[in-house]
Amino acid sequence: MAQKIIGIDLGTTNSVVAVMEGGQVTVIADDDQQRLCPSIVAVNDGAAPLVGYPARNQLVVNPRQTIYSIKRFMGRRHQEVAEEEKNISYEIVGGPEEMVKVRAGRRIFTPPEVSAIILRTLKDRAEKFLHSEIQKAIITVPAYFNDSQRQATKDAGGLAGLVVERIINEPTAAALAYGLDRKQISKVAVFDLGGGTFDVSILELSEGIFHVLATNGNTHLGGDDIDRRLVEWVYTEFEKQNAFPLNRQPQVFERVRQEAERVKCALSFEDSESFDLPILETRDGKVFNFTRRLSRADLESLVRGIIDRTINPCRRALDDAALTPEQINEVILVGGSTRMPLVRRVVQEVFRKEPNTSVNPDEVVAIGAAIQGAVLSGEISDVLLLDVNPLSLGIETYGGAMSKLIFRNSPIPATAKEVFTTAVDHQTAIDVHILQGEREMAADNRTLARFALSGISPQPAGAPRIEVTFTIDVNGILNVAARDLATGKEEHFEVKPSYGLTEEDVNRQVDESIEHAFDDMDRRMWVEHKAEAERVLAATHKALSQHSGKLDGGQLEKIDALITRTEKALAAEDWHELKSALDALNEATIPLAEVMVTEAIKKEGAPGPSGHDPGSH
Amino acid sequence: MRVVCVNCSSREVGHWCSHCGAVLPTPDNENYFSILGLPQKINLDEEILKERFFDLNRAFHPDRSSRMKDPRMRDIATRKSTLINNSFNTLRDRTRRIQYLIRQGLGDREEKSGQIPLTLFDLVERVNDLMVELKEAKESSKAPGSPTNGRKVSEAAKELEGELQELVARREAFESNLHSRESEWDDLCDHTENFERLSADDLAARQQILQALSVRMDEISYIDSLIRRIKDTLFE
Repeated sequence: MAQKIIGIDLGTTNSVVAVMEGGQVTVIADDDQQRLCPSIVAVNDGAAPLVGYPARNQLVVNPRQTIYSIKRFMGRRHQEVAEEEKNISYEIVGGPEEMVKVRAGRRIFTPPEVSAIILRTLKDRAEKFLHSEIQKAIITVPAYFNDSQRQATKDAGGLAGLVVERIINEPTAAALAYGLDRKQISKVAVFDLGGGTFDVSILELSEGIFHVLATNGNTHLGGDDIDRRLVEWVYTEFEKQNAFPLNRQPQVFERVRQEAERVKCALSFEDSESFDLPILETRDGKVFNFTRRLSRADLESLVRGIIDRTINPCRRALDDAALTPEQINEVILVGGSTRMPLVRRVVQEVFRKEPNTSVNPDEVVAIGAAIQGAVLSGEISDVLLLDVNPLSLGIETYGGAMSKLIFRNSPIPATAKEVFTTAVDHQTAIDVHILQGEREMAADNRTLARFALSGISPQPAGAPRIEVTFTIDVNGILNVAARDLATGKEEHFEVKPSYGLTEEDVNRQVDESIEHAFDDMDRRMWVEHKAEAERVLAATHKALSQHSGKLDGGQLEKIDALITRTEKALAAEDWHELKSALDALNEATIPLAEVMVTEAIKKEGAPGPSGHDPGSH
Repeated sequence: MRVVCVNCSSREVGHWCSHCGAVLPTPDNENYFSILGLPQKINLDEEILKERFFDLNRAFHPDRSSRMKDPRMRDIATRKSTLINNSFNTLRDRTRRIQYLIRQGLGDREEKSGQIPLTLFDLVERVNDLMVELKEAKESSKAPGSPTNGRKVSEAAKELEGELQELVARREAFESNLHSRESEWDDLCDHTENFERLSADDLAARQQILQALSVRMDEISYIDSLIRRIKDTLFE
C-alpha cells in the first residue's frame, strides 16, 4: 500500500489537515478535539513556539511575539506589503526590495519558516492520528496566487519535512469535496472568501473530470478587511465619544481587533451584538471603556463596499468561461467569510441561485486536498483535476509592451516558446523580462523575473537564435529553459521573484485591466507609431536638407504638408491619424528616396554621410 | 508524424507504441489537430474536441502518469500532456483555431494591426474626420454661450451614426464571406486523403483559401476596433 498523502489547507486565519482512509475523509482533530488550527505562531524566547489556540490565547498579552496572517506575506517583498504592515502587531524587517521577514522576540523568521511551524504541527497531528510517519502532502493555495507565492508555499512544506506532492487551488479542492458522488455533467461556481483572499472558479464536472473553465479573484480581499473596517469604526467612534484619539499601541489595537472579529462573527447569527471593551484607555486618572451595540444592518452598511468587490471577479470568470449565471447549476461557498448573510445575498444576486452550504466552509478545502492526495496515491482512480493558470504570462518586447505567451485560464501544465536574438553586432547577452498580468504594457504588469541570456558568441546583430521555453507546471509554478539553436547548448534559469510593482498596484491593475483593455491597445499602438514617426521625420528632414533641390515644387509642397500633418498627429497623440499620416508621408517621399539612391550610385565608392540612413526605408 | 519508441526503438505513429505499449514521445512541432486526433477543420465538433482532451488527459496528465514506473515514460507523458493542453486551448476558440491554420499554412506573418484594409479605405478617412469633428464640436459646446454648437454636435453625431450603420453592414458582408471561405476549407479537408501529401493543385487551392481567410480576419478585427472607437466617441 502506497504511503498516505495528507491534505493541508494552509489558511490565512485557520489551517486544517485531513486524510482519506478507506474511502472516507477524516478532518483530523487535536487532543482537545479542535479541528481547526488557528494559523498563529507565538515565539517565546528560549522555549518551543506555540501554535494554534495556545498561540492565539497569548496574542493580547504578547502581541509583538505572536505572528498571525503570515499567509499575506508569503512570496512578497517588503515594499509590496505596506498596507498589511499597518495592521499587524508584530514587526516586519528588511529593505524595501528584500523578501519580507518578521521579527518575533530576538529571532527573525521568513514567512515560509513561520508557515513551516504550522505545517509541522499539522503533520504531527496527522502522524498521531494515523499511527505512522507521514512524508507527503498536498497543500492548497488561493487560485489567484502568483508564481512566487506558490513557490514560497512549496518551500514551507519542504522546511516542515514534507514532500509537497502538489500545490492545488483552494476552490478546485472545494469542488472535489462537493462533487465526488456526482455522475451527470454539471457546471459549478466556487465562491471562496477567506480571511485574506478571494477566489472564484467556474468548473465543469463530467464523469470524474473536474475541468476548471475560468478563475478570477483578488489576493487582497477577505475577512481581515472586514475586521479592519470595524476596527477603524471603533477608533472613529471612540474619538467622537471622548474627544481624543484612542492609542494604537499593539496591546490596545489587538484587543480591538479581536473584539471586532468576535462581533462580526456573532452578527452572522444575531441581529445585533455589543462591543464590550472595558478599560481601553486611562487618561488623567479616568478610565475609558468602549461599549456599543451594533446591528447587523449597521455592519452591512459599513462593509458593503468591501463585499461588492467580489462581484466583478465573478462576472469576469463567467465571461471567460463563456457562461451566463443561468447556466451555472450550483454555487458552492467556501471560507469563513461566506457565513455572513450579506455575502450570501451578493452571491445570490450574481449567480441568481441559492448557494450550497452543505459542507462546512472551514473544512471543505482540506477535505478536497485529502481527496487529491488519495488520487495521487492511487487510492482513487476515477477522479482527475484539470486546472488552469490564473494570470497571463508573457515577456516585455520592443517599446515596453507585454507580449502574452500563455494566456490566463489556459489548462496546465502549459508551455510556450519564443526565439530571441540580438539587436546590435557582437552583443553577447540578451535581457529577458518575464511578466504576469493582463495589461498591455509591461510596466503595468508584475515582474516575475529578469535574467540575462549570456555567453552568446559575438556575431552580427540578429544572427544568434536563442530559444526560450516557458513551462507552467501542474503546480502553477514557472520553469524557464533556454537553448542556443546553433550550438544546442541548454541552460535552466531559476525564476526568482523580483518585482517592480507593489501588490496593491498589481491588484488594482488586474481589476482595471478589462476596462482598460482598449486604452492599453491604444497606448501600445501609440508607443510603436510614435517611435516610427520620429524616425521617419528625422530621416526626411535630413534627406530634404541635402536633396530638396532635386524635387519639383509640387512634390516638395506635398511632403511639407504631410510633415506638418504628422507633427500635428504626434502632438495630438492620436495614433490612428499618425498611422495614416505616416503612410501618406512614406508614399510621398518615394521620389526623394529615388533621388537619394541615384546620388548614392553616382558617388559609389565614396558614400556620403547620408548614404544609408534615410534611404533605408 | 512517425516517432521512435524510446523503449523498443520501433518507428511508430500515435500516442502508444503498438509493439511494446510504451508511451510515444510527441514532437514539439506536431500539428495540434493530429495530437487530438481531429480533422483540420474550422467547423469542429466542440464536444468531440473536449472528449478527446479529457480522454488524453486521463492517460497522460501528471496526476495519472505519476504512477508510471519508468521515469522516462513519466517525462514523455508530462510533455505530451502539456502539448495536449496547448492544442486544446488553441483549438477550442474559433478565432484562435483559424489563426493557427493560417500560421501553419502561411508561416508567421508580420503583425498588421492598425493597418487599414484596402476594402475599408474609402470609409476610414471619412469616419476619422467625423470623429475629430464631433470631438471638437463637443469640446466647444462645453464653452458657455454657444447654442449653435449644440446643433453641430447633433449633426456630426447623426452623420457618424450613419457611417456606423455602413460599417456594421460591411462587417456582416465580411463575416458571410468568411463563413463561405471556412466552408471551402472544410470541403477541401473532406476531400483530401492525406494532408501531408497534397497535390500541387490542392496545395495552391489551400494557400489561396488561407490567404482569403487571413484578409477577412484582419478586416473584421480592424472593423471591430473602429466600431468600438466610434461608439466611444458617440457615447462618451
